[in-house]
Amino acid sequence: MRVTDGMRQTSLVRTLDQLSQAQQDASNRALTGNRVNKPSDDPAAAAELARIRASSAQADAGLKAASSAENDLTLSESVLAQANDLFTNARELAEQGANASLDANTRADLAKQVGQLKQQLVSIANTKGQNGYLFGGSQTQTQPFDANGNFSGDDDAHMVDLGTGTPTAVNVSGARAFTTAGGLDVFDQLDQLQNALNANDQTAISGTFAGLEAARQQVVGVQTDAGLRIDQMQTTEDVLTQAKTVLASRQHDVAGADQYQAYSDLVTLGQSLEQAVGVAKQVLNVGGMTQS
Amino acid sequence: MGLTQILSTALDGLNAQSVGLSTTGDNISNVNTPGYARREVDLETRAQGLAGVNVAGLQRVSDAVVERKQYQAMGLSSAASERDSQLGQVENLFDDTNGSGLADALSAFYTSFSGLASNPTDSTARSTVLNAASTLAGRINDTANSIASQRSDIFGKAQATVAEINAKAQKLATLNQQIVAAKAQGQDTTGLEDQRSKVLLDMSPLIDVTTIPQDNGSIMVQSSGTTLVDGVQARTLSLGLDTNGNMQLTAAIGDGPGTDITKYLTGGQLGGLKEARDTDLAQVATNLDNFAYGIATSVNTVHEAGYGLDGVSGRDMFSITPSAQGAARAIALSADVANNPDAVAASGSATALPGNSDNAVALSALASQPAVGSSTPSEAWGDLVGDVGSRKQSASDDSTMRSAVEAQATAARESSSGVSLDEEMVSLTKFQRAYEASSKVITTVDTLLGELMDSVGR
Repeated sequence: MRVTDGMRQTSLVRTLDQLSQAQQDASNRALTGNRVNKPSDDPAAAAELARIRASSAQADAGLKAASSAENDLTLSESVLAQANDLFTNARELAEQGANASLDANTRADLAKQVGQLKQQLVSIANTKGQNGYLFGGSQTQTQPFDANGNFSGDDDAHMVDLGTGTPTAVNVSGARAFTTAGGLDVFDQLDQLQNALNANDQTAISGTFAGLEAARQQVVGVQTDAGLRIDQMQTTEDVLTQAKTVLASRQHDVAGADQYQAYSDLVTLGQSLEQAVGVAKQVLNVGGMTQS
Repeated sequence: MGLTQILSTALDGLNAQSVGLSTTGDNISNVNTPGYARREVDLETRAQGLAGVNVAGLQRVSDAVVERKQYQAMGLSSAASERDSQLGQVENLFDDTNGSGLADALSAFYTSFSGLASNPTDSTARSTVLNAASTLAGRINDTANSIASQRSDIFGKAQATVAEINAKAQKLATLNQQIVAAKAQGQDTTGLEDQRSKVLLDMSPLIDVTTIPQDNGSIMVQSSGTTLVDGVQARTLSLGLDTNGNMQLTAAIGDGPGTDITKYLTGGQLGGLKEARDTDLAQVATNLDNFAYGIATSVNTVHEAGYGLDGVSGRDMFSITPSAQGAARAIALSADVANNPDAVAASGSATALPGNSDNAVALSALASQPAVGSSTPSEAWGDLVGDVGSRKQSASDDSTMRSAVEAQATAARESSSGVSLDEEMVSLTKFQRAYEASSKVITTVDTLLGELMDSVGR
């Protein structure tokens, strides 16, 4: 085969082009640490990357939702614990008031204290969290209990999507903690005690013991519910954090470059390119050797 | 043989070596000229016992088969490289790794419902949903518009290419005419043939070119199933759009009726442009339309079922075309909800306002439900990215392979027709020495004649 100058030149240009291109790709891999830098590098991996990114974003959103829900649940749990204590206090006041030796004045004093407890309980039941009133059901923007403990909220469950595929309720029911929806109206129990103390009626006072205990139990039941939900949020956060780690590692498996390999490719190709340029110089000189 | 006859033989030699030197010079000066085929001097001894050398002519060293292969390889290579470069532009639109894809906007849109579910009364969460929806719609619009404008750019480029092909076809017809005329008068046509080769080399990257040499010296050129140049006649190509908006290539003689040759167009830049525009980009645009339509309708269905803070239901989140066609360019935030965050339907019931978030949860759950065919939104986007990536990858592989074939074909032509400076240096020396020797013969004969004159004159 005849080898002409044109052949030498085009073949050199072609080889140098190819090497430069390969070096460019290798330097992209080394710089970004990614094997897949554009969809055509590996179409299947690029498609999977899109799904992984979406799952990762969903996990992030779930984490945010869980952590926001956990804050309000923790607040709910802690104020319900206060309500629990409050009924313990009320029970103590009732036991004190049931003492036969007490006179009407002392009982009236105790009645005042019970009145204060009721006010405290109303304010507990009207606690506001990040998203409005904690115990109003869907009525998060209007105060659910008036000064007498009359309920204007509902028993609506606040659902969120934690990225687990199942909607999860993240509020506890004020209706079931404080109103007849949970068995009895807890404010009514305090009213009965206060009335009995004011009436100086020892029998009636003793008659409130059972109701106060039942009210306490009712509040404790919902408090437990809040505790369980907090656990659930924490578990969800753990699961989602774990899922994110798995996704990140999957992302690296799918699209990541072996750093050492990438760097070594870059160095090798750089050397090849240098050698090729050297060879090119020599080859181009060969054409002129006979002329000198 | 007399001394004077030797002189004329030596003169023959001088003439022949001069032609050789001048041809070598011609070859050397055209070493880089495209279309130039090296010349060889055809030397022969004089017939019928006469001494001396005759220059029978100049031979243009070319191989019609090798050349035809090169033209074909150039056409295919150019088609593949054009498609590759067009798809490279599309690929950029779908590249999530550099942030130009819309995966992030898509995720932001669906996760905004999660924030809304956490806090349905919060106006920021509601605005976030509207902003994310508007951004997503805008990004889909941008992508679809970029594809549409690329298709229109391609049409413009293809029209320019067709004009160039027509000009070259006309030039070939003219050169054919000149070559046939010169050949008929026995003139040297090598220069004209070089020019014709150059035009063919320029034309074959534009459209598929098959050359068929004719006995009278002209070359017939066939392209896209039609005879583009036949002797002195060239067909004119024209490019339009058919009823589907696809490119339509017709060939006509003069002002005569055109023949549709679109389906035979495969090679050259024009073939690559056609495939990129009417196969690849058209399909990608359709896929994007289906994607936009699927997202918009699935979100609208759920959104309509929910209630805004004002207790109104039945509102759309997106305004969208009645069918998938054109959906990607049309998708936008619906007028029902635009600038009205309270209209975002987070609640699942009119009575549980404002705190109910059942519908926000349902909207958020759409992220993992089929929206486009049987694919979830992110799967559908992944499929789109994968499809574009596969197209670009195959175009790129194709281009690499075709370009290697072209390099081989070019090398084969160079090997037969190209100028080798090494060879020419040897020829130069060869002719120079022969020229010197012929001169020597003349001086020797001159000396002999001088001696003869001297001895006779004495």
